[in-house]
Amino acid sequence: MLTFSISAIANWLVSLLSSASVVKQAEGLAAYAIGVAILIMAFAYFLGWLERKIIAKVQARHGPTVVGKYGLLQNLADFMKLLAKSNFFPKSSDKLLFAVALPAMLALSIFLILLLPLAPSTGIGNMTNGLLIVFALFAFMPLLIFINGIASGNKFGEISAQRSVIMIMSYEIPMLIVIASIGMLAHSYDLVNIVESQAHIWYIFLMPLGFFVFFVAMLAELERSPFDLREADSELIAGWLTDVSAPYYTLALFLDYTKMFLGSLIVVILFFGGWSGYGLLPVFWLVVKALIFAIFVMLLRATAVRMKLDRLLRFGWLALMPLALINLIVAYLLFVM
Amino acid sequence: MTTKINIGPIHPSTHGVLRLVVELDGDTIVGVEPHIGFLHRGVEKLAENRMYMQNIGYMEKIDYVAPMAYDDAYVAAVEEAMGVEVKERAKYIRTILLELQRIASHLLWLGTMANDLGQFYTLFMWTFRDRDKILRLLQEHAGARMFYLNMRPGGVVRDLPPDFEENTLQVLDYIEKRITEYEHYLESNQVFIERTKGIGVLSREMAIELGATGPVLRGSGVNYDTRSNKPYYAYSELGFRPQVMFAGDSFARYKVRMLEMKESIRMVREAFKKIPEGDAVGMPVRLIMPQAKNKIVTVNRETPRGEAFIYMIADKERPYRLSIRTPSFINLSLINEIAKGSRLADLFAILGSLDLVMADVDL
Amino acid sequence: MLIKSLAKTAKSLKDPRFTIDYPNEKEQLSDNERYMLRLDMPTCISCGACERVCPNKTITMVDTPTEKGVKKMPQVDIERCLFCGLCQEVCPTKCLTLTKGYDFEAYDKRQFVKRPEELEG
Repeated sequence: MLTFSISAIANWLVSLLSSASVVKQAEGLAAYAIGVAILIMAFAYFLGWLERKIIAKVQARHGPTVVGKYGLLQNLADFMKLLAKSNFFPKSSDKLLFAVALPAMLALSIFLILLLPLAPSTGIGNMTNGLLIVFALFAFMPLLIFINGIASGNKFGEISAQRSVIMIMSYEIPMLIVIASIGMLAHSYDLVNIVESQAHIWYIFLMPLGFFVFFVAMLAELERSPFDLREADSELIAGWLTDVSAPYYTLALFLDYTKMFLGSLIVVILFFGGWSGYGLLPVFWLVVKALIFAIFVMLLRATAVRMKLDRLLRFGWLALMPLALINLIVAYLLFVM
Repeated sequence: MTTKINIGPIHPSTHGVLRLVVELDGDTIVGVEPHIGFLHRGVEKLAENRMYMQNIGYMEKIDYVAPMAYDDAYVAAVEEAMGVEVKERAKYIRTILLELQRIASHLLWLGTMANDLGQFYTLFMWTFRDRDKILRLLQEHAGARMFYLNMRPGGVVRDLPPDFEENTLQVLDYIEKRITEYEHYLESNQVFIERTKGIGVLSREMAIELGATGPVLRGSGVNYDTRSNKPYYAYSELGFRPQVMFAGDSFARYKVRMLEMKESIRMVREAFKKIPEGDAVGMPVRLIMPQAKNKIVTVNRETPRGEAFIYMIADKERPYRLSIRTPSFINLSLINEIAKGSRLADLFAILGSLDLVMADVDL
Repeated sequence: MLIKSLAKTAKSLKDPRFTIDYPNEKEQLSDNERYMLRLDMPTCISCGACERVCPNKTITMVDTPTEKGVKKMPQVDIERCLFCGLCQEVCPTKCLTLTKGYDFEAYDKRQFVKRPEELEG
């Protein structure tokens, strides 16, 4: 029953590319993707500026003020300076993997944001298993971090990549359990359905414990304080980013804010009702809620003391996972039965 | 199978240039070997070729966080060599200024220790703001924010400005409120407590045997403070009590310094009530100053880091040999004993609680 | 666990900023500050006490033309100066003083050796 012959596949591809509706659909998707990617980069840049100004205000100082009005162009100036420096790979590193790993992580993050529905009727359309697809692709992050660590060639990089990977993998499990309970409440895994079933009451009020578990696990995934082992600059300089040359460091900085934007959007869609709100455009509400959540994460960065690795792992396995399971059982008992 | 890693001289968090060669077994530390000498400037040798009062510029730069402590120690040695008595009002003024310097130094320590533990510079900026208020007070009197040079044999360089007392009491009220807030801020954070309690334990016997001084010694349960065991200036009249904690870990050392700050605030308020009127201006610097009568002089002082000891062989116009025993040098040598058995991530928390200044180590 | 600390951080968002915007606003200093040196040339009696008391060999006496002929006056090397103020204290006529001006910058290192004429005013 070998229907997968080469000629059959070739015929299918040719028929796909030549039918008019598919070409229009592909063009539409490409335009959407490019437009949203530019918007995401603008937001990541804006989050970078916001973080510097807010942390400066908490610490009783001005942030950047000179470059551009209110220092808005400071990050752009920093990126341009870094991109203009020379690029080299360390001698003991694996050059191909080194060159590919960081751009791949950035591409993955932007791709995941493209998969999220930003308004009721845009984008990819209703994907029946949208939530599961997003998190399945999200699980590629530890693999890419690991590749980065091995390719960096020095032992600090490897140690730091191992620690990051252990942390991210042990915090993914409570996150997935909480997602299962959300799917149970909304009776589907389609992201648009999840947002629309929060029209009466947001899920954060129905599952506060689930929100707490998901929030802490998302902080660990984004590697923000208090879980920022990777950039523990008082321990291992900068971990696997120590030997990265300047143009790639730009990507790493950008990646930090893109991941934060991705995490904020996911949390807002799953727990805060996504784009529901009175009056203005739905996209506006989504972005405003994501920004408020991002500000909360930034304030947390200014306050928290970094946790050590063993306490982190104990917290993840012994505290978060039972809480996630309890949340699942309670949600089942209260809302499904 | 142990590996050795090198935490190099240029590092964001070793408080200066310090090279540590750490021997690791997995993630556990088996031995730490500090290599020092990157900041050695030859202060003791430079002092031999200059007259007494030309040296005060160099003495202050030994400890750049609390310069007045060494300024005062050296000028006390010169006074003893010349046989000059300190005036009564000057004793109280020196006590007030030294205790203000101690508060400022402990505030800087608090900021850098929180920084080492991973907090993103927030507490650092707040404590520097408070330290800046004290530095402005001292600027009104001495003329500079950091390198004061305001001690002269017999007194201070000029009397306190007329509104010094009022400004100081206002600043002290503000700082007392802030210190309590910082304590709550850190101690309500479960992660901070776990990263400092039980970490870096120094037992009482080892502290005495290895020669620890200052808050490191008092954090291990030994009731020894130069200000009460060998009192000088006005400390015995102000009712000074050493602050002692018994656990010997990083948390105990942190708590000792916080309590010391509060005790300093209390003493400055008390000193303003008891200060006598009179003249406080010491001998001005001239090209020909009184010659030294006593040959060998020793001075013990309590700097914010521990006990400093100056031993001077005095020639007629310049010191023949000046030997300074700094507290940070001895406290650094404790790191091998303290850090055995803890993890690599704790090493910087322990270094932070020892309060080292590398210029103090290398002299 | 972190709720109290977070509340404190959020409250500190409304505290005023403590740093000043330097080139536009400047710091107020007291009157006995020890920064840039200033020489009052007519009062200087060329005794050389400042040269002898300086711990760092910063001051040298150089020939300077004045109205009354060529006299020796102090030349200061700002790079080596500790700003300790001992020269101000020893000067018998109080012609060498340290003032409040802390803005001295130059593009060339050699401009930091200030001749007596440059130390005026």
